[in-house]
Amino acid sequence: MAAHEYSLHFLVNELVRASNINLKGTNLAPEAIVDYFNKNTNQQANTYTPAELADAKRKLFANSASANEFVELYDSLKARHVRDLDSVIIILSQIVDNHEVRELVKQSRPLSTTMTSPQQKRVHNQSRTTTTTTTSPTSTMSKVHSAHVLAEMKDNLLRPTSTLSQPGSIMSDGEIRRRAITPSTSTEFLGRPSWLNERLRLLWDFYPTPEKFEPDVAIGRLSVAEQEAIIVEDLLLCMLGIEGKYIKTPSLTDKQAQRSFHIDRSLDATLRDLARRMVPLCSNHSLVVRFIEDRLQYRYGLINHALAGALREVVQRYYVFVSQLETQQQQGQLTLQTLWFHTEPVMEMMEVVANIVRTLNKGNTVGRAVLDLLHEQTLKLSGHKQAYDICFFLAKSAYRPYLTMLETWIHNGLIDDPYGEFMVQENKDIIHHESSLEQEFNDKFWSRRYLLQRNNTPILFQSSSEMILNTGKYLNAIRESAFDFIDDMTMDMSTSILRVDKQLLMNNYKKLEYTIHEKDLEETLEEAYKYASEILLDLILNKYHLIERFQTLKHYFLIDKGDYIVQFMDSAEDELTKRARDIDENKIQSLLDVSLALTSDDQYKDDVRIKMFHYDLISMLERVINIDSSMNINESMEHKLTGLESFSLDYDVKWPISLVINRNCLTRYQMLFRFLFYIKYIERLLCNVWRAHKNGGRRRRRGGSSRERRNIITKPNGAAYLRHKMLHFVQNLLYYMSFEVIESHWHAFQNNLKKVTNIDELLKFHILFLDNCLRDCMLTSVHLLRHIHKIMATCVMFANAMDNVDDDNDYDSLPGAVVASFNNNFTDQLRQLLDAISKEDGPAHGAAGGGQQHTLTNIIHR
Amino acid sequence: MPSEIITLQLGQCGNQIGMEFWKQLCAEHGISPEGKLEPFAKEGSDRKDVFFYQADDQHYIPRSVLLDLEPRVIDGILKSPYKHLYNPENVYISKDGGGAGNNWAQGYHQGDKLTEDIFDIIDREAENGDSLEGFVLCHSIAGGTGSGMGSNILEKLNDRFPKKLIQTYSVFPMTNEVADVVVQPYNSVLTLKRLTENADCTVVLDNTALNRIATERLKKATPTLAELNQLVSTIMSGSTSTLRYPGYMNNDLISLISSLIPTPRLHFLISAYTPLTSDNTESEVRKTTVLDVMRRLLQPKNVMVTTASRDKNITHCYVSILNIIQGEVDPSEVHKSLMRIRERKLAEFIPWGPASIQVALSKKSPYVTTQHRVSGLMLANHTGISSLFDRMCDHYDKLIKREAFVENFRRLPMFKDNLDEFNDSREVVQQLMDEYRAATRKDYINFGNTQTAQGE
Repeated sequence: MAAHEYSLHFLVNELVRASNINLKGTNLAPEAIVDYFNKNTNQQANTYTPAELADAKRKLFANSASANEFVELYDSLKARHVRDLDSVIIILSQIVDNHEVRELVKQSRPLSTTMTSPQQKRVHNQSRTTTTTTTSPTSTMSKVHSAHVLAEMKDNLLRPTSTLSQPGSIMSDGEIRRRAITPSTSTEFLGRPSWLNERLRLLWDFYPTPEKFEPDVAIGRLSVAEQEAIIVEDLLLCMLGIEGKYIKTPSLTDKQAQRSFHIDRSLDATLRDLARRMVPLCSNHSLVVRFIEDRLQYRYGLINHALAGALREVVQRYYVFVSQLETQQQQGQLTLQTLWFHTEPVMEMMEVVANIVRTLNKGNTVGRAVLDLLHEQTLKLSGHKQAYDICFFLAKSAYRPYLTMLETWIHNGLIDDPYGEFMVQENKDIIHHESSLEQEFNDKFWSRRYLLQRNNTPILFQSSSEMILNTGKYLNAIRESAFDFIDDMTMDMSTSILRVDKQLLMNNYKKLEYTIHEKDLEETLEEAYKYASEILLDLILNKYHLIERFQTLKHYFLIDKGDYIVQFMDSAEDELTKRARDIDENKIQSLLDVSLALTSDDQYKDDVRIKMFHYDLISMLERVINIDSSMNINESMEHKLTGLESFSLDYDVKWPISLVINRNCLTRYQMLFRFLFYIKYIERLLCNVWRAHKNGGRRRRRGGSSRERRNIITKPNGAAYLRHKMLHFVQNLLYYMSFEVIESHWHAFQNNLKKVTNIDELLKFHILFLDNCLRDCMLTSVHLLRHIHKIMATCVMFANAMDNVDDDNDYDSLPGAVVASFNNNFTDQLRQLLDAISKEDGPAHGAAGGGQQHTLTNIIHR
Repeated sequence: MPSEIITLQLGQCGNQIGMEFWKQLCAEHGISPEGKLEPFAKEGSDRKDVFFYQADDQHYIPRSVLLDLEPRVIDGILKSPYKHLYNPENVYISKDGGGAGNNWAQGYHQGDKLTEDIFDIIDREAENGDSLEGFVLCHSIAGGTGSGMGSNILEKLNDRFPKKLIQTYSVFPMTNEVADVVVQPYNSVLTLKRLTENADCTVVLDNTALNRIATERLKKATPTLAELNQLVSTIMSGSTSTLRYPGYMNNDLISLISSLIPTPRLHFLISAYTPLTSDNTESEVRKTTVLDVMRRLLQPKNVMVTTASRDKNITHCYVSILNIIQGEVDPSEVHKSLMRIRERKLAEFIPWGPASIQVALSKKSPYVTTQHRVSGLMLANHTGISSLFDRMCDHYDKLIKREAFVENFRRLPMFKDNLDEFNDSREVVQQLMDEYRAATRKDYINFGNTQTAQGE
């Protein structure tokens, strides 16, 4: 995202400069604006829910003095499928919400009213005046103005290239946003070659003749038959886009304007009337031809190109028709009446096409909007066979490039989308390269790499968009993993993967064809989706042994197989009790490796690594909960930390598996592990105290008279009693965490795994499992953890105190007062913990919380 | 390998139990009587190395030492299909072959003489493992070898391996009938002293109760010795299952017993197992749920020690309970069962400290098919065990009053001069009983204090 930040900074600075606003008076620093935008872009800003939109609209409506005008304008814009309308609406509503910006806008108000040049006006727009101004003192002026400004703003938006090409001009908010998300849209496309504009004869449209061609004779003087012949010829010429002798057309200033025709007034009235009826055909043809020329430009994107191509085909047929008429005319068989007879149905078709073109022109639509419009038209015209056919043809052609993209996406998992028209966009910032994947893999890659662009999703695919996104994503993942696999696996494995790849491509899918029925398409999509998700799931579960991986994680991180911990603690205790910074990590690693090798088997144990954290569990939790405070890890803590507190495991995951077992999950695992590990360690300490107790007692018992012995063995053992209490607490806590929390959630997770049908569900279940575990292990509340930690600390202190005395002396030589104070501490802290738990046990914790409380009350049972 | 455990089998009873135990372990781990891994036993999740080690030819050899003063039982073992299982070096039969004649003193004395040889074996075994955790001793406290030599070995083990745990599976003699060995009460009390002072954990297996269970549960009029031993081996394998099938908790012996034993001397555990089956009887238990299993474990008729739950004016209670549940269990089921048991107050706990039913979930052996989905083993520390000692002391008192049969003891060095050892042992047992009774009261924590005050 770094690149975006720079560009954002630049744009915001430009904005501030251009709008001449003195920002010093306000606390709206450019940085804040940047932050704001950054946040927005991070939130997939371009996809709004209808509810959000409605809300925004309502707000604007309420704030606008010229409410009706606004609504009108909005509707008309909406009807034209103007791009980014939604974004603009949202931004405007945010401006209304944001008081500061509103004030700013007011300040700049007087300035803007005096500006007249379009350039300045645009600047003024971008300083977000628009509808908010209706609340300003100058509202009388702006009432009329606001709607106008809004329109202007749309205008701006509709010409992205022009804005871009003007140096120093500022992009609108919407554009900034769009740019941030889809960099490709803002790249400048090759313009039309200049000769196209210079040599107008190359166009199919009317050639503007500067010199007025004067007819030899006034047509009115000729006989009606002659007049008819001439006018038929003229009409035929006009149909082809050539000015006739008596039918004239003024040159147009606007490319998109409707062409008007002047038929010589001296023409016979009946003929003239008939001719006039046919003239719209010519004008429509002209319109369509101009549209074709225009839309063939690169910047309009594939869909427009395809549409233009289709239109050209239509026009081609039209030319055939006209030339047939011409043949007839040359044979002298064509009267104006027959011409009219032949033309009438064609006219109708042309009208349909022209209508579409007009709408498209109005919105200057590209991409998805074109498709939607065509789709709508097709649906609308479904009663009219011929019109429907032509519309269907256009829609089908226009859809073709889109569907091809869709096909490569859902069958190969690739995006081939040079114009940024496809509904799925790749986030180029998150690039998959191996080193970064293995080191710092988080779920960002999976969730952010491909984004659904609501703006680019045709209505036809609206309902299945998620499915489409996922299909491609899965395939993409398979592709990535297949490549990785070949790199570092043996030959037989790679061949098997190649087989998968082949399978992937051989999948003889139904060709996607445009249809007005969503269902037909959906079926194909669903098939592809099922196929993709099955393959990926199969790949991950079976080829990469995900389930076994999960088990490994459970064995080691959740200490399902506790024997290795016993072994490890035996060997590494000395090292681990050192201060964290003095610890030789290599040594620990090798000790761990040895313990793992010696204890129970697991295929994937080789991937387990150690990791020493430089902060303890509480601060780890704090960091997770409030990321802001991550900066202030106090150094002093690092000094105090022993290896035991900083020790944790890590796990190497290779690419396709890291999709599921990503950094986020591993962090959760690590938190659980650290907690469990520490408790295990406490248990161990207390067990050692237990051992010492029995030894101490035993040693003294030997020898000495029975009398003496009697005194000693029956000595009170407050210490033993306290130790028992602590041990009981620790073991119960362990039991609770392992069986009642981890094991039961694991159980549920396993059941879910059986039902899982795609990778996203799998991810979801996995996270759910971990979150539940964390929550029920009291690892979501710093408060609770503190309490537990205090208790643990008391236990450690007690164990150490016992350790110091027990070696040569009798164990209960420890002064009773010390034991008593430990006892008091422990009991107090336990009580506090229980209080805290019952407090936390709101309805939020639900059943699990109840169980937790129950178990812990059980601990203190006395 | 971590937390290895060496099993010592002493005397006739100990060896018989031990043999059944190894049979069971072999079955559970898929090891053939020759010590080879059965073909169906793939590399699994079990840990064989706690109780076995591998010889050069990959055979699994039990970490077991077989000791006896007479060759009969061990010869029997060496003629059984399991003859190749054991390490022949670990089998030690006294060269005299005369046995201990059911005399504790004889056994103790012979143990003294054979210390060198025996500890050669034990030391070798102990050095064999990387981190020995403890010893398990199987013996009976009634006979001569198991009790006498057992006592001797207990004391010596304590000297030589002060940091290791010593767990015993001690078979207590029948107390309700006329004993088949007349000096049985002497033997028992003398051994009990060593068990109290030198063992860390004693699982009491009461022959009376074993017989009762065998007749009631297995519907046998006269249960054979083998069947009784099978019961014992079930208990033994059950209680070690968390060590052999690693799970979240209780992966070493110490964590298993440390929670059960709050104070060092109260380490006599009772056990129960359900559902019980034998090879040729159909079990009457059809359905096993966790609750059923846990409930049944608490029923006195399933407990392998006959205890009086009501003793004059003392209500006995549980000091601690550990349930080892084997099989496919949904953890939430366990939780619910615990709640039910607590609601219905099926178990009475000590008033002076934290106590509850601890549960350890353990996997079942994949190689042994059982009829039941869930089976459970209870190890519990119950104050009612004092009534068992009480009965033993009664018998002892009757005999000692008349000084009956003491001549055999007097012949040996320990009792040459006086019978102090008898009195001393009796006193230790009495103290133990007192402590157990005291543990039923709230002021147990101050138990020692008041005692000392009275003593002075």
